[in-house]
Amino acid sequence: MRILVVEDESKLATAVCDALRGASFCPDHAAMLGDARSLVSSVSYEAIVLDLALPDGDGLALLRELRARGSDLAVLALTARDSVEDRVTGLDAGADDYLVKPFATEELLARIRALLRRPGAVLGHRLAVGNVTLDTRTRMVEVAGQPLALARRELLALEVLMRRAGRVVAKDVLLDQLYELDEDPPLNAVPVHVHHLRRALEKAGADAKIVTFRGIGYLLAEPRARKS
Amino acid sequence: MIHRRTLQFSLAWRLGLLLLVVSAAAIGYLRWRACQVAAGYQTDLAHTVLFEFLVDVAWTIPLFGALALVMGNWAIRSGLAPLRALSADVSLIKPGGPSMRLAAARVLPGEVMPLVQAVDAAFDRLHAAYDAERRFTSNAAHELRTPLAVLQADLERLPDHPSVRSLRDDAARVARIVAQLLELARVEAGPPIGQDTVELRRLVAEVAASLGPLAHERDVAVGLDAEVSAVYVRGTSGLIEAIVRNVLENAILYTHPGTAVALRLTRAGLLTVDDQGPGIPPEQHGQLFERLWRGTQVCRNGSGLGLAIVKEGAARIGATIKFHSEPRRGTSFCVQFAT
Repeated sequence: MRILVVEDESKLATAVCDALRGASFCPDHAAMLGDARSLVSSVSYEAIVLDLALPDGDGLALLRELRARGSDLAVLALTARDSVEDRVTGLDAGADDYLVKPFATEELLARIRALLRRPGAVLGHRLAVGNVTLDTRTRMVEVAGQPLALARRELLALEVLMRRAGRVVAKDVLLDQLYELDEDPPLNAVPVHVHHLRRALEKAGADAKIVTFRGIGYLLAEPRARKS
Repeated sequence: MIHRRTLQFSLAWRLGLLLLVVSAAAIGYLRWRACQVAAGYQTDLAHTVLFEFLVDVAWTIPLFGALALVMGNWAIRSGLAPLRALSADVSLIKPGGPSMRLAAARVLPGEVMPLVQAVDAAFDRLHAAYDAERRFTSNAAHELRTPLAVLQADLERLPDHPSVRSLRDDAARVARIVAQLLELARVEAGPPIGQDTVELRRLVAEVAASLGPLAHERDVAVGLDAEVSAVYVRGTSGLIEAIVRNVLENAILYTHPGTAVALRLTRAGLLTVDDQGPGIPPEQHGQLFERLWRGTQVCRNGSGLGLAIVKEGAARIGATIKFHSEPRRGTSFCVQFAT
């Protein structure tokens, strides 16, 4: 799976490319906006890791060009700018996700995998957190290899939480995902569905845990590593 | 309705005075002429007719005067309309917003052009200074963060070893300090008192969500209780985010693992963050907001800049901060945002 890494700092680019190679991706490296532009037009990539501050221009320019051409290539913006306005500009310009430097390479890999697992994207259809797996194509959930039957909305909630495992999913986001626009969700819909989902997972012996942040959202946590 | 110090008021006032003097002069002149004409006739009838006619005509003079005043006032008002439109334009100008040429935006009376052009030039200078400051913080961020990212990536590639782990922790700490220094610089370079309205509940929930993984890692429960679903406060989202994030991050880092951090938000824009940490000893309350000062219960991740950012940011958006701390019971931070 080919990934383009656009980053002018050569050591960082090498580190990112090595990490990607280690995760069995196939990275190409471009140090300048111009190189990136020509690579993008000649090679078909699955994703771009795009540094926004490049010596010959702003990465956002490339991003806007891509989106203007109607490309839905997954783009992970890599940036040193972390103010709210910068984040908003980046996402408005069409970045799918945003990672602020410095970052852990694990985080980078996790974000790329998450991007490539978007609906319609290329990477596998199996989401896994702890011993819980979800096949997004067959809609089958398994806990420790045993199938687990879930109601439709609980399954949807699980999928959203699994796609963003380790991060807090806001209550409003869950609500939007669980109900269509014309549906009128009952009061407390989200807590009720999450409660059912949590009960079902616990009963099935899942080691991934749903953590509630009251009034804020929910986080699906990987099982904790044994503290040494 | 018309304010005493407006141009409209003073012009109308002068026009009114002028009309009063002119009316008085006109009536006086008419009376004098009438006396002169009457002197030519020796009959009482002629006198009576003449003076009745005079009274008949004289009372219409103030009426015409009043009419002239009303029309004059209307003319002044419509003549000043471009100035009112101009103030509406100016009130939309925000730091960091697109630069705007007032002189080009409206058809303005020639008399005010020099003023408007001078204001435009002043805005340009401010804009340039603001841009330079922003560029600097942005460049500094890039120059500092990229090498740190390289360092962290290199450290991650080293085999796992206690000394490597300690180096990784150090690098993470340096990264955090750099992030906070940059944030402080940004807060200081930011606009003075923000005129934007920001919805606080959603923003607090977003900040809390972004700190969720940290809270989970430290086994801290974070909850938000809001009196109403939307609370509008004055400020800029960047500054409010910086304030909320730093207060909440402190609470998560200092509260004892296994305890809770409670966020409460009132409809009046008061945000309270309660932790169940060791509390702040009374003798240290004075230094709490000083830069690079850290409590005696030093937390490894702290840079000593968090509360300085909070203080600086709050001053810029007119928010006030209070805290209440009981040793061994915990600390509450209260931020009252301007509404």
